[in-house]
Amino acid sequence: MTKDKDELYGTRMTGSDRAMRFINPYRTVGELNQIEQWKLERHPLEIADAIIDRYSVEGPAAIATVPGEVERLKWAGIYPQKQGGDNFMMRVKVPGGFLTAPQIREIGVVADAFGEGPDGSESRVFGSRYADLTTRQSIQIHWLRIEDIPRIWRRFAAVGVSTVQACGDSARNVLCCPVSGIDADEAFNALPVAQAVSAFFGGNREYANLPRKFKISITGCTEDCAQAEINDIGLWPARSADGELGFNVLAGGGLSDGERMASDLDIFVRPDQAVELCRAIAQTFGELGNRENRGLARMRYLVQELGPEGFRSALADRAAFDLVPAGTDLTRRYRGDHVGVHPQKQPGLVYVGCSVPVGRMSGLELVEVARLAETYGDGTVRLSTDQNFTLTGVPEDRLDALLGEELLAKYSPFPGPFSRGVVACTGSEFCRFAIVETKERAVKWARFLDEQLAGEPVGAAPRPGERSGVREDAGVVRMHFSGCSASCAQPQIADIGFRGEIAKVGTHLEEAVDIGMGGSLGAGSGFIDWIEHARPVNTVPNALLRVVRRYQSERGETEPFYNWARRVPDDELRRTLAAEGVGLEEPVDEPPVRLVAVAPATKSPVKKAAAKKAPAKKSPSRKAAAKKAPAKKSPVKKAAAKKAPAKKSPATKSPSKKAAAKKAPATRKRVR
Amino acid sequence: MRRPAGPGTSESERKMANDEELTTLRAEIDERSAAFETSAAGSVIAWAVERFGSGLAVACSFQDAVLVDLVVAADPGIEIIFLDTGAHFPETLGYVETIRARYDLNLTVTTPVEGAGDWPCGTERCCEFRKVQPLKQALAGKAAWITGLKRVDAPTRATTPIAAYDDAWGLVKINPLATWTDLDIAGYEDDHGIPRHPLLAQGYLSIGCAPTTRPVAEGEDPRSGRWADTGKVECGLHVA
Repeated sequence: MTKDKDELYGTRMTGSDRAMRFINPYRTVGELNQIEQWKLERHPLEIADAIIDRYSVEGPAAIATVPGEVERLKWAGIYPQKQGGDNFMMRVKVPGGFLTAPQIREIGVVADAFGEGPDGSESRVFGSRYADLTTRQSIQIHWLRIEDIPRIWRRFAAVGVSTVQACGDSARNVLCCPVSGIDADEAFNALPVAQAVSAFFGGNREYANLPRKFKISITGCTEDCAQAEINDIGLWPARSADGELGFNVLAGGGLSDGERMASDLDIFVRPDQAVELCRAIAQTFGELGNRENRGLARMRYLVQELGPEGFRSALADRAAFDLVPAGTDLTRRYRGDHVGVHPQKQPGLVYVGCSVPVGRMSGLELVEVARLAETYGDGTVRLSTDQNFTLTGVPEDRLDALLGEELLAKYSPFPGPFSRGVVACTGSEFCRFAIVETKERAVKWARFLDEQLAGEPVGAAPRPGERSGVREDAGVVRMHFSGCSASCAQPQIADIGFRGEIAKVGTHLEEAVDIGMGGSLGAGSGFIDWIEHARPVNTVPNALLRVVRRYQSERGETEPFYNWARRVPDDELRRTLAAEGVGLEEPVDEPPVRLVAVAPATKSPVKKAAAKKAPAKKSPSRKAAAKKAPAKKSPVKKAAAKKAPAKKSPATKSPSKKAAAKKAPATRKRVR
Repeated sequence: MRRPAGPGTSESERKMANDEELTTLRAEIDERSAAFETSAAGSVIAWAVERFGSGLAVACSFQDAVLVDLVVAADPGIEIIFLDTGAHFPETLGYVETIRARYDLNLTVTTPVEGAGDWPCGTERCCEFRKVQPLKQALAGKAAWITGLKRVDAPTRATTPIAAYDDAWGLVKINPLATWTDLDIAGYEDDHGIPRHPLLAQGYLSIGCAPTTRPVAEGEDPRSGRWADTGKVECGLHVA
């Protein structure tokens, strides 16, 4: 493969050809899981050439003839859709969520030109030819055909956009505060650091075979909007003992089906050391991480196993600089979104955060976003982890004209508190793992609650439609809807989290959700308690309405929903969800979403699995989280405190328990 | 008895009145179309000019000039629309100028909508922005249009009527050459001494935009050179 051609497609490999040292002296090939063996048989990054030279010409059937090839597709940023055949999803990496107008225009054009599904696949809510803004500040495009992929790469390469390693066992999109460089309160602008780390890992052959996905978050803002605690590496701002600005290092956070808050490694990292630090952590993970059991392969299990001190010492052996203590953390709080109009640190300029419920926009709308960025702003667009976009560098005297644009009526900077906070994963529409449909449903639920409570202040936030220059987001109720337990929509950090489930109602199986409440990051970080198990989806909106009504009547003046939910006992929350007709005029539930009829006598594994989990678990984790003092402690103490809720929560198991759970034959999430 | 649609009538009453008018128009055109199956193209065009007057325009791809020759004979000042996609062969643009000068045409040349250049060649939206939308603008306010569609062009065109009310466009669409074959075209050109598109001699038997058109081998389907190697056969102008 010539270099020129790779540049043309943006798939050039960098780094050394040598393999990581995980085979010898640590383990032998025979101990590796199947995917690890495939990765050794042929380097997964070589899939890009195979797509360009072979599969785009021969078609999707050829992919299946090569062992491990479907797995390798991920390294090119491509997943087969649930529908199979010639239907692929492509994930576009957007380091730090930062895009130029030509880049977002090109992504929109590709979604519009190549992302049309077959007849009948149009959504009543979203139409067709759309793209999804994701919780990793990336963009996903559906319904692509393999023959179009090289052409799409050429177009992306021309504007500097890459899909390489957007998926697979390697460094994923690097997160950063979406208002880096313009936020008046940031400690420093860390976007260049995030971009440098992204550039180091992108296409880097040597570091592209890690035991599992590898998520990095880097921010210089003081509001944790890059979600440091739930990434494999979280660099957030700190001031060293010498008064120098840099980062402190968190490691081993994550959600999926064994959530864990990251451990504080108490290491000060200067911005110019960040690439080396991340490289050394990747090396530590690559050499020592679990390559036998995919369920225990994420770095959080290694951090848990070694302990923060043990992990730090393994890292010290591999880093090219001496590890020194972090000094003082500068993170003040958790900020869940940037929706609204906010002043920038540059006088006379504002940024406008636009709410995209569940992140789905048409390709043409993305093209329009590019036009707005060029017409009114500084020609850039920022994506955030709450699946929204922000237009930056808007002169104050251009603001009214921008707010008058049609697109901002739909993706409003002043949405209702539920539409503003709603996040959803891909769901059963495209995903092979999801149990229920998520995106349409989440949007409907959010709209329902906004309509039912229209005009009433739900929390302390301004009323819908009211313009406020403040950055206050206390009245937002964040609902995160994941179609299965993999947590792509991050339900554990939401005010109200949903997880796709199946309920048996009478003689039928129906789409259902587990409902949890009380999650947040930042100073009061804690995961949700799962309150109710497998509530049929048609009864959820009214159940939520009952809970929100109660929150309205009981909340403190500026008390966020998660805080209220933490202080109300789980049993009471459960009763409020369940209590029908509590004297309120409630809209009638929609009909249930039935899947299949179950013959009463059969002992199908589905039925058993559904029945087994019947009683909702009561978790003590909320108490643990509530107990945590919001005041900052010394890094070492904080590290201990951070671990506390994880240990107590039944949802977070120690690696050994986790291993046992994985070996159990009937796992809940494989129902169906 | 039909009530006039005007102030004081409700939205639904107006709609009903429109529906009635449309039903009448449809019946008239369908009847004509059936009768025209064996008529000469010239008489179809003469009827259209008579029936629609200045509400009539001709959309011409300038792959040949037979349609131009016929319509100008019926109405020398008739409006002829050429869709400049911004991606035509230079030979096509030269040919348009040759024909325009020869007949002193009342020619309207459309341009692509702004931003069309961002879309990849050969995709549906590209055609929409370079052909469909500009033509819609050019036909705004018209009642009918004449095209050069032939049933032999493609399987998608095998049942093309001589005339029909086209719901997608809200216009009567008249296809006087529907029953013609490629031989008929060549014969007419010879008989009337009409200049040919220069690329015809190089094997381009159906001519669209330069990046998506290739010549076809002898005996090959003439239209197979359009959007070759893709499933695409129509640009969107002629989708029923």
